[in-house]
Amino acid sequence: MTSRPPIPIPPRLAAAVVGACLPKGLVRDSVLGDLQQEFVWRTRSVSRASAVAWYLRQVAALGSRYLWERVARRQSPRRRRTPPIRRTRRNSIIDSVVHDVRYTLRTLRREPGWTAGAVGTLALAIGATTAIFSVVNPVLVRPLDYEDPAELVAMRFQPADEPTREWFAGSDRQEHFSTHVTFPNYQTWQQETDDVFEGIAAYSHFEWQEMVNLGETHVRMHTARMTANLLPLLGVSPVIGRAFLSEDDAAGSTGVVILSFGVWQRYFGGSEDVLGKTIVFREQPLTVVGVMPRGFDFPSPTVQLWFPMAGASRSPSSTNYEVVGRLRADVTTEQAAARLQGRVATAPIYGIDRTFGATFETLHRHIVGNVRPLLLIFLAAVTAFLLIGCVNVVNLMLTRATRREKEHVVRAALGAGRGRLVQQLLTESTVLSMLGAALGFLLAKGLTDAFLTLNPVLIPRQESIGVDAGALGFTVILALVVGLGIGVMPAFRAARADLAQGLTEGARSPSGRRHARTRDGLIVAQLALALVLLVGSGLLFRSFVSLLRIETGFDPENVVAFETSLPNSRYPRFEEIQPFYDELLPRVRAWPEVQSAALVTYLPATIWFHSDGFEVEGYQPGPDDELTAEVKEVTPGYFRTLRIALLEGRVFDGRDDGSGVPVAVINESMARRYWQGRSAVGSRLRLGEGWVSVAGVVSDVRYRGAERDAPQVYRPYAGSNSRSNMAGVIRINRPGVELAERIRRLVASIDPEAAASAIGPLEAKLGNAVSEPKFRTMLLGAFGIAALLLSVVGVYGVMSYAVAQRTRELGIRRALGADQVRLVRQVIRHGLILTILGLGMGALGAYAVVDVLQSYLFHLNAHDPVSFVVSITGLAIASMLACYVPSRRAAMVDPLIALRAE
Amino acid sequence: MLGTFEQMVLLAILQIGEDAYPPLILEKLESGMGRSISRGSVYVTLDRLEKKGLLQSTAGDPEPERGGRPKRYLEVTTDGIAALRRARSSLMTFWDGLDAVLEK
Repeated sequence: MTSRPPIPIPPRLAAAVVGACLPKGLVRDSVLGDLQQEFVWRTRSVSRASAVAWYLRQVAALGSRYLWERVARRQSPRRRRTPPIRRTRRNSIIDSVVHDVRYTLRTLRREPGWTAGAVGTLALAIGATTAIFSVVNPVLVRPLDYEDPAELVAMRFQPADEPTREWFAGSDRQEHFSTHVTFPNYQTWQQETDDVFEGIAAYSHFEWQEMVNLGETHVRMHTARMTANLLPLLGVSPVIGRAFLSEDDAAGSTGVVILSFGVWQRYFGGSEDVLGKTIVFREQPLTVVGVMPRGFDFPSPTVQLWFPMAGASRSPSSTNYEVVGRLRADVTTEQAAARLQGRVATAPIYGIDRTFGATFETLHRHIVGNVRPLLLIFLAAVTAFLLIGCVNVVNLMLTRATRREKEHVVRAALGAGRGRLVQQLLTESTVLSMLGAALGFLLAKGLTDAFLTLNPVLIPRQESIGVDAGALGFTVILALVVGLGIGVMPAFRAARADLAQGLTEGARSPSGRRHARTRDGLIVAQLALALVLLVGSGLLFRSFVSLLRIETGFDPENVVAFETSLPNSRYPRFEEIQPFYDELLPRVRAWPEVQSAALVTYLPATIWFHSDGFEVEGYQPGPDDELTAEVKEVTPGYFRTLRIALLEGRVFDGRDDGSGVPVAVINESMARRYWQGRSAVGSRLRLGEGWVSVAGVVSDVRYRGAERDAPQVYRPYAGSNSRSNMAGVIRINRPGVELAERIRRLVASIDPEAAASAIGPLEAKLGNAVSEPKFRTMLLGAFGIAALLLSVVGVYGVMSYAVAQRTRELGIRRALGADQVRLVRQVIRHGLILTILGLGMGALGAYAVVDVLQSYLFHLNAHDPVSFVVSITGLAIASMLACYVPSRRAAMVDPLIALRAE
Repeated sequence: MLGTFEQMVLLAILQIGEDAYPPLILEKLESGMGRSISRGSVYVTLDRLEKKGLLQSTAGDPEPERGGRPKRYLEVTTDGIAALRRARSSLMTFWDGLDAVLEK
């Protein structure tokens, strides 16, 4: 049987849009069906792109046609000739709303400048809010794509000999709990928890890639291991083939593997023949037994291959495993937490037997927990931004309302009830915000894409981020709320208009002063909000700059880095490994462009490092003194290649071949902290199993965000029980030398089964280390700057309106001899008072809330005075400039023209 | 009184027979009139004619190619036929006696 090709599906969002415009029932169903039918035909006979373009055109044409039909039919004059239908109250409200909408559209068209300002501001505000919603909703709110995701939990373990902290599930204070256990420990918990969980399953997952032999190609892939019960526990099955069986977990079983959808498509052409094929991983042939569905991302979206437990380390010293569980249907979360409380299991951790208690958090929280605070900060920032935008529009509307006061008074005089006036104005504001939302929705799409191109690696579930039907619904609701929100004040102001006074010819606006006070209040609020955003983005910016400027302690310029991977089985010990590198290094060094080259166990600027406990001869550690150092094994030439400064003693050379006295080189911070002014050189240090002598002190090397002055220890590579996979650093004598292909060829020529990868400038790798802070800074910075601009525009609008209102008064004063400077000063004083009030409140507000940013700041206090002062000064200057321009205009008022204007 | 486009739609449905559903009707109209017609105006006219009782629609079976949605088959009702007749006869009274002028 040949399988039929999948049926093309038109863009869902577009279908949802047109569906919403169509009348329910057969009409909607059949029209959508007709469109889809032709879409399918066009996709197959032309191309998907042209079909999509066609579909979007149809959606726009049909949607607007049907909407128009709805509005026009109700208004059609022809209809009045048909026998009168009984006008219900509902009918007349709908008719009057339709009338108001048309009236609004007419008046808006008459004032294109004003309309563009208001709609543009709303589009920015609503667009930004929708964009952030499109990130927050799928990441934080939407349930995970597993069966009954609410029942899934991630287990955490805590040494029972430590004081019990908050034990309950979902507690925020879980940082003392470890998520990782050994396999034997997992097995113990499996027996201990069957009254709490339907089942628990273990998995492990590595951040680094490993070489996989696919037959014709060798590819590095991300892999994960899971127990056979994991997929059933999640409620996910492979698209083709089978899940792991418990036999697959048994230690001696033949190897099997499950592929990700992507690997299946890319390397096996999506053919079902893949089942039964063999791939080779760590020298083991593995049979492909299944392919996971598209989008399956457990435990991480990067994973490409899953293995069962066969061949995994079950050693009681490797804490590689994380544990997920499914709560029993008859147990609530609280009951489950209560049952687990006090239960313990003993397991060796780092070689020491420790007794552990267990608790859990929801799997959802486990996955998104880390980014939750950051996303909530973004949400708060965008809300502040939305409010600033709304305030601007309210001010614009109040200004316009004052101008239209006569119109309202006349309408009231002609018998329009207050309710009717309020309705008209609320309709106006809603139409405005709907127009803004329509533009904003398009903007949100662009903003969301921009957000993803900033590459926020830390954000999980990225594949689900996008502007979808949910976002559309959100935009519509937001537009309604904003529309009514910004309309309330102008509407009720207008409804209170005073008839008698309003109609008097030449009267000054009766409610002008009231409006002015409201606008002033709004400006103060707006400035305050803008300052909070500015301070926040200023803090992140300063932190980011200091991160960039950090004295890294080495010179990454003109250094090419690469990583090697050797097949473990053939290189089990140093004796086998050493000849490989002994051949590699001299050949690299012999290249004419190469100044020096060296090997290191872990590159600076990668998240991987090895740390180890140590002891210092003659140093008595305090109770909280945790003596751990980052340990790297390096070949001679490492310090020269990276230009790490030698401060005292010597670095490694040919003497350190593993035969003589074991030595180490330590960093400056470590020497200062543990030798306290004495020279460290020559004294001894206990590292892991044995004592080594300190040969030299080098400057600190900072990277990885490099938050602390952590102790760093270097050991000679020769003679260590080293990793077979190393990183290489090569200093080249001129920039831009392309080495990648040569390195690859060289490595393969020494051993065809070895591979070199991740070849590139060290500087680029360092760039990755600052990508997270850069992402935060850019996003919050964009809000800060946009908020600044919007509030300056707001201040400018209010001030110039105030000046325009006072043209007559100012003219009279000029006529009576007031000098220009005095008038300017007077107008500016008004602005100044508002600015001071706004900034004062903003500063207090910012002081209160910036603490939430503290954990994102590098070497910077959240109450950093510089950020506060610069933000306050910047906003004050901008605001005063916004006042100055209209005040100049006030001073230039020609008394004659001003008086004639009335 | 039927509009010209409404008449054409009704006639197209009668021409097609029992398979008449919107895309076919659109095709028939376009080939008959020799120009492209907006899909929306056909749909809206169909809805209007149905509301006037001149057309009657029935749902077909759901089809996978249509995303599991049915076709809407259209049939001219007896009222529709009567309306067409009236339209034709009133037009005919205007045509009467003008052959000489129009066929010059």
